[in-house]
Parts: sequence; structure tokens; C-alpha cells
Amino acid sequence: MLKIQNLHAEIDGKEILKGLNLEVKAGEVHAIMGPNGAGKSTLASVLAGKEDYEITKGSVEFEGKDLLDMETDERAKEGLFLAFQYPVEIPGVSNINFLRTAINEKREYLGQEPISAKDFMAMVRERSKLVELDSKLANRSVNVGFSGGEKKRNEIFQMAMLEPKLSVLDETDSGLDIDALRIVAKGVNALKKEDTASIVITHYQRLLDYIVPDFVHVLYDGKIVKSGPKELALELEEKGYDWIKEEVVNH
Amino acid sequence: MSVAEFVKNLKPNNSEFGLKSKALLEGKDFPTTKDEYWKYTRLRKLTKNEFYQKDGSISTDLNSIWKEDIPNRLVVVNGIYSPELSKHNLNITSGIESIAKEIPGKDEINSGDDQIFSLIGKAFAQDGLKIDLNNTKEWDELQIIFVNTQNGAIANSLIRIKASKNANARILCNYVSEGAGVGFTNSYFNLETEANANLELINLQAENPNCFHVQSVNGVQARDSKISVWNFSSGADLIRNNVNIRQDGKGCDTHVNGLYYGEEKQHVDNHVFIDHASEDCESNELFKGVMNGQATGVFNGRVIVRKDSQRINAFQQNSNILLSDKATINSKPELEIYADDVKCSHGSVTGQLDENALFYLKARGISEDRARKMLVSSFLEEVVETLATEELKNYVVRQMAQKIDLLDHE
Repeated sequence: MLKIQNLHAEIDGKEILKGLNLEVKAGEVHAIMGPNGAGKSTLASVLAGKEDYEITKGSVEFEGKDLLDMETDERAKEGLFLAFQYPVEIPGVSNINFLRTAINEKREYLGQEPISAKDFMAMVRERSKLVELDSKLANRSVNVGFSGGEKKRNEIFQMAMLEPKLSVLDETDSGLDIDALRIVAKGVNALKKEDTASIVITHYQRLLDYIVPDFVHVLYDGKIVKSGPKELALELEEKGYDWIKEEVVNH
Repeated sequence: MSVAEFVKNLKPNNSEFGLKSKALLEGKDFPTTKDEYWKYTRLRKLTKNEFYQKDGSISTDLNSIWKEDIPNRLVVVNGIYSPELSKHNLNITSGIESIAKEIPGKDEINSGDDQIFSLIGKAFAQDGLKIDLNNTKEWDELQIIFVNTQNGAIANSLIRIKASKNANARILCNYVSEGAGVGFTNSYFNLETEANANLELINLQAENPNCFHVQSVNGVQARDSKISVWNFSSGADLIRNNVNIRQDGKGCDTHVNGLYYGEEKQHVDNHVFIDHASEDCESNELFKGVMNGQATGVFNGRVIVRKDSQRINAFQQNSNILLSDKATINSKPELEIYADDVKCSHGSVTGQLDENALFYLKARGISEDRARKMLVSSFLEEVVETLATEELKNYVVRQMAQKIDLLDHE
């Protein structure tokens, strides 16, 4: 589904990603862990198409297409979803209007009819329950006045509404208490299908207690330096990241 | 540039106030950017043209402009009232003589900044309208469409509106233009509210980009009355709006709101002057603008609280978005407070479209174009929301969207 090869990216002349390789197949959940400043959020932003980053080398293939050649909105329409670490507040734009616009733009792109108001509202009711998001919040301006937990749940709610093929969750666990974490993870797990995949970016292991990954990768200094089964996350939790750094240096 | 040169092709109306106004214009020049209230507005692109008084006949189909549920409709072409295109059951009279006794009104507000254009209007207007509103049970609603036929037309319109004791009235004014060449609309309103009256004046300025529009709204309020003025500006090469309101009685409420959009080299200037001449009064100003291309926006909000005007609340907010590096905004609050028990606040913010919000919308699959529209519309929504009814809000957004490609509407 996703194939990242030798990806180099920089911001303001500073290289952040330094030859990153990653392959994600349908049905898989990949966790990307790593110390602060390793390039985790850069990877998420680059995949979503944030213009602040310049790709200097490498390629990213998404469902056989050149992802880096697409506009941000096109990537989303093709089925890529980024759950933001810091969801943006947009005063004056209602959640509902925003989501309906997004869904209908995607449908138009895929040559489908727009969703009827009735079906849309039914979908809102059903999917907001999934993340225990008060359906009243759906009528409010996007993320305005939402608590930290509500913002993150709103991200997963949007994910549920947009039905992406590949979801990238960027530090979705940051700032969440254990109950909110459980709700968010429950939502993500409920959306897991054979033909979808997820990349879970996190600093801590605790999210992975709830969203169980098939693979764990360690991102350090712009590269994936170690990959392994889910047990690798536990090892990182126990030993920290220093031994990885040492391994890299001694290599 | 001299006013005499500008009016050389124009015939005065010979009314008493017309001749008096004409005499006051003798030897006058147009203000320049050295004059405080014209600091950011150059009049050259207006005054370099030649203008002529023209008769009123139009070919524009007004059906797309009428707001269907308003029963009273007036059409004014090049400043001249057109009875055949109008229908109403209100107390309205036309002709210079109809307003001869009431304009300039018992006390002209001396704001000092827009006198030249008011005087030109009074001296050279070919017609006038006197509108008396006295419906104390429900809201009188009236729509006036002002058409400028361009080809060098100057449309001086003089409108006197009086809302008598306890009356409620809402007047919607649309400014449109048709034809080629330049056109100048110079509109003058004289508003008066008697005790407890509630008067709303909504201006939609949507002329062609080679038209000019100077508008002076002068209002005097008696006790416990309310005047609300809205300026929605989406057309014309140069717009200058003056709204001057004096609260003469206790317990008055004044709202002046505006929304403006400019692109290419358009220039939109709003000057508001609120004179708190009595106590226990309130004023609110909310102006929002979006400037694109090389457009310039100006906002000047002047508030005076007189010495004995205690317990005044005066609020003012101006926010702008610049969509291009070459667009500019000049925003200036001016508070002169001589009383001590007063609550005043003002705020002015100018920024760009929120790039993070734009990225967020795009990351959900919304195209750049649509995302920009959503953000611009949501920014402007706050002003639209101050209108009284949902129908009116929808109508105003629909009308403005015809001129502003960036506006999102159903």
C-alpha cells in the first residue's frame, strides 16, 4: 500500500529525514517510535503534503501512485488520512459543513454521487458514537472550545467518516488521559479492516497496549534504525532509547 | 484639484439649500492626503474624470436583485426617482421641493470630513426622496435599487428618512451599475429617529469596477432610539463611506457594521463617526475586510464622548485579512473621551489566512480553492450574523457572492 524509499526531507535548509525506508501492506499496523527530534512528526507532515518541507531525495508510492506528486487534498481523496498531533481550531466553519464538504469532494473525485443529507446525518450519529463524541460537538466550529481529548476524538471521528485506506496517527496519545486513550484506541481498532492500514507514531509505548502493532520501527536521526515485532516496543519502554543510539553510533 | 472644474458640466438645482451649498463650494479644492480624514484615500482617480447629469432609463433586469419578500420597492436611476419602476404603500414623496425644508435638517453633523461631497450632492442633485416611516405595530420594509448608467453619469441622490416615535423600519439599498465607461454615485442620507424608533439601513455596494461611490449617512437620534447601518462593499473602483451619527437623547443605541472586499486596485474606505452627545447610550462598530491583489482598505472609527455624557458604552472592532503581499489596510481608531463614567474599547487586527487551518482542510480532501472560500466566508460571517433575519443574511451573502468569487454560499 505504501512504499517509502530513501526519503530525504529538509526544512529551512536543515535535513530532518535522511534516507528513510518503510513498507506498509494492507491489513497491517505499523508503530513508529523514537526519541524527540528524530523526525517522527516530519514524516507525518511530509506524507500529508505540508509545503514547509522540501523533499530532496527518494520516493513515496501510495497504492502504486507517486504520492509526492499529489496535492495535499488529492492525497486525502486517494485515501490517506493524517490524525493531527495538534488539531487546528477553525472558528466559523462548522464540523458538519466541513465534513460534508470533505466527503463530497472525495466522492466527486472518485466519480460518485454526493451523499444525501439523510445518509450523512445517520453516518454522523453512528460514527460519533464510536468515539463517544457528543453529537452536539458536530454542529460546533471545528475544534473550537473542544478539550484536548475531544479534539483527538474528533480526529478519529473524522477518520471514521472519511474511511481512509491508510491512516497516519501522529502522537494521537499525547495529552490524553487513560480513559480518553482507551476511547481513541477503541475507535481506531473498530475501523481496522483487511484492506486498510495504519501508521501509529508515538513516543510512548502505552498507546500500543491498546492499538496492537504488527511491526514496531525505531526512527532515529531521520532513519529507521531498528524494526521488530510488537515486543520491541516493550523493550524500548523498559530500556529507553539510549541503547538504540549507542547501537547506531557503534555500527 | 478644484471643485469648480469637477462640476463644470453640472447644472445646479436652484433650491434654497442647493444654492447655499453651491456658494459654500466656491473656491474649494478636493481634500488631499494631507487632510487628516483623507490621509489614505487619493481622490485623483475619481476627480480626473468628467461627469454629466443623465436621465434615467435602464435596461438591467432588476429581478435578480429584488428581495422577494419586501413589499415596497423603489428604483432610483442616476439619482432620479423612477415612479414607473417603483411600487409601495409608504409615505414617500419625491422631488427637490419634497426635501427642501428638511435637508440639511435641523442640525447637520459637522464631522468635517465629507462636507465637499455632501455639498456637491445638495447643489447638483436633480431629485430627492422623503421617506416618512411611522409603523409602530410591525416592521416597515423597503428596498431601494440605485442604478448608475455609467458613460460618465453622476448620480447625486438625496434621501431624507424620518422614523417617527416608536416606528420600526428596515431599508435595504442596492447600488448597481450598467453600461460602459465611468460612473459616479454620490449618495447622501439624512436620517432622523424620534423617541423609541428603530431604524435599519443596509447598503449593498456592488457597482462595476469602473464606478466610484461616495456615501454620506448622517443620522440624529432622539432618546431611546436605535439606528443600525450596514455597509456591504464588493464593487466599485473607489468607495468612501461616511457614517456620522449623533445621539441627541438619552438611552440611544447605535450599530454601524461593515464588510468589505477589494481586489485588483480597488479602494474601500469606511469612516465612522459616533457623537455621544447624551448620556446612557451605547454604540457598537464591527468592520471586517478581505483585501486581495493590490487593493487598499481603510477604516477610521471616531468616537466622541461629550463632557456630560455619562454611562456610555462604546465598542469598536476592525479585523482584516490580506490575501496578497501587495494589498494594504489602514486601520485607525480615534477615541475622544471627555466624560468619566465610560466604557470604551477598540481593537484592530490584520493578518493573513491561517495557513495551518488551510492545511488542515486540505488534509481532509478539500481543494485549496474551496478551503480558502470556507475560511474567508467564516471570517466574514460575524458581520453577516448581525443582520436581523435568516432570509436577510442569506440574501446578502448571495448578492455579495456574485461579486466575490471567494465567498462560500449555498
